[in-house]
Amino acid sequence: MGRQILIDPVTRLEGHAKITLHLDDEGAVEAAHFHVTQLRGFEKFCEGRRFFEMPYLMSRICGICPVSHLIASAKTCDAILAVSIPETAANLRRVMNLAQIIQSHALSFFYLSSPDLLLGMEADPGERNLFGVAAAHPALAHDGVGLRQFGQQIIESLGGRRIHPGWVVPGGVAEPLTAERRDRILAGIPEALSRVQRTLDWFKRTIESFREEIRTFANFPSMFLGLVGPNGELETYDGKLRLRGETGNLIHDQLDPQRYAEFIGEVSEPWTYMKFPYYKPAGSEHGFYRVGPLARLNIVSRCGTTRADQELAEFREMGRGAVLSSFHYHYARLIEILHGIERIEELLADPKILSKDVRAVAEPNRREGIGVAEAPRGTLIHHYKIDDEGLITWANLIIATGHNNMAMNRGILQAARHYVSGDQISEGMLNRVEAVIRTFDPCLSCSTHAVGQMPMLVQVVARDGTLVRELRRN
Amino acid sequence: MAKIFVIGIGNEYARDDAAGLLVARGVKKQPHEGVEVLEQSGEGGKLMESWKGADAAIVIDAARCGGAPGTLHRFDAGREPLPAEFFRGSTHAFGLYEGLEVARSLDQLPRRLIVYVVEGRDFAAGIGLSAELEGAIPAVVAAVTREICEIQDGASLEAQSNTR
Repeated sequence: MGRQILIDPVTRLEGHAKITLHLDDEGAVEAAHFHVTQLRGFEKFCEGRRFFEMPYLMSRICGICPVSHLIASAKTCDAILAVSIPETAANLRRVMNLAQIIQSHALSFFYLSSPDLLLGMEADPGERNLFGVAAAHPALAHDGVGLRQFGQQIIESLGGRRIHPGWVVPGGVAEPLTAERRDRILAGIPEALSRVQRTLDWFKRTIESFREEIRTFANFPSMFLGLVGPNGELETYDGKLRLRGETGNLIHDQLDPQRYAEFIGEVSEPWTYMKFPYYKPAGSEHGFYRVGPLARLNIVSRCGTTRADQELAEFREMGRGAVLSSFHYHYARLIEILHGIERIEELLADPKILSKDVRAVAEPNRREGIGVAEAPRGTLIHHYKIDDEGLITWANLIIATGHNNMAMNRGILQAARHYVSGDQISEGMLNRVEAVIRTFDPCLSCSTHAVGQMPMLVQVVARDGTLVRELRRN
Repeated sequence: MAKIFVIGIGNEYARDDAAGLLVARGVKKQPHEGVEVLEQSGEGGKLMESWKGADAAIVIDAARCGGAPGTLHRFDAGREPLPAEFFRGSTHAFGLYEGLEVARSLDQLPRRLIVYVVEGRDFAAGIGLSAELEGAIPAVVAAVTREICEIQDGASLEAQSNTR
């Protein structure tokens, strides 16, 4: 008799989701679904609002990556104004976006995933958390807390607050950077670099012990999508889209993000609120790709900063052509933190960063705008239309976590087939299935705008609906 | 003179969640030497930074923990962990409870840390406290003020005994 295993909700994610594993008559996993079960629908309720309110409204989608929404939304508004914003404004936005990536990656790596990596997938769930990490390896926890604070302090220095800053506005930014604030940020750079380098060294020593997870955690061929700079370097604020295949082959380069609708389609499934974007020319069945840190490091020609490029060379030894295991999202996150710190130092070293010319002012000149940036979790697309009064008539968002939806579903199926079998369902098995999802660091608040966290419930349900087994985590 | 930080945490636009902020404002109305009053969202990382360099910190938050709205709980959080059940449901998984416990593990707590939790009734979006909370605020302000005086008196007694 076929049965169903339910992991509900999945813990240590941003938002609320559950996993169901469908077993066949022999107890083997035959299907796996990652369900996102709540919907808030920002695209709908912003209709009728003034377009220039959008950056601040959209930043409320998420408390983890508000800056990414703020920036993608402001870029959409720049397109509606049809202005080219001052160079200093673009670079200040760039610094804030990098700071956002640093703090979000630190949250993902240290707070959410390091318990699995440091204490083990089989560790007591009561201790498999950041407190457990702090007790077992205080230096690592110290570095994690310090790196997150570094990113947040930059956001606060620029925007006045660390969550939902309103400083990025259509046409640029609201206020220039003062020398005092710049110097305060620069003063924190040497320590931040030491913290991430120590963590990278530790992670690279540890990686050997996760050989099985590397082999089975969403390790399959796919395409990879993200923004790159004009010379193919890592670029998270602006740039053009690049798509590479599983062998590292270039499928598209320097694609104008304004044309996203020509090559990205979306399909829906009845069992989840999160849509499934796909690469149109390959069709919805075969057109799946990954975005985010792993994808970015797979598509770029170089990071563009000294230390990060050295690390990138080592990272690339993990694969042939492209690094395919999603386990290496963790590794890629650390390299992106390193790149972010180095790049922020470069940007702040330019005296023009203190220029007072930080905003272009205009009335709306277009009825439609598209803004694309790289959020911590991947490519973020905002697209709005307005009426004669400048009121929003239509909005579409494609969020990083959404792009990864197909890959996440295939990933849990791969891991569940490897680790889960029949009646012998252990905590460690199920934690590995969850840990696959955590490699992607999905933000369900962003992709559907669900809020909240609850203890985890695992159910084994027979096909006739009777509960065969239940495992509850508090 | 002990350096004391009074940190009110909450969200002004989530009704009773604003209680911590209003208590902080109430304390600020009567300036005390050596006391700095802060208002914060309750993000754990920021809290960990805020009490750096303080001899003592008093944190005030609102929560829903099954008691009557307006009930005040006091925890000597420097000595023992807060009850986790008071702080479930933080959207971003790193709030007061998490910040405090990580700081404890990393030995980053101030010498004295007192947490006041006032029970709220309504945490929905909107401005204005429920009637029960509105009525409870002056008593919480008074309790925090007493706490400040006790800490300062204790510090001054300690200083005297050290000089003898």
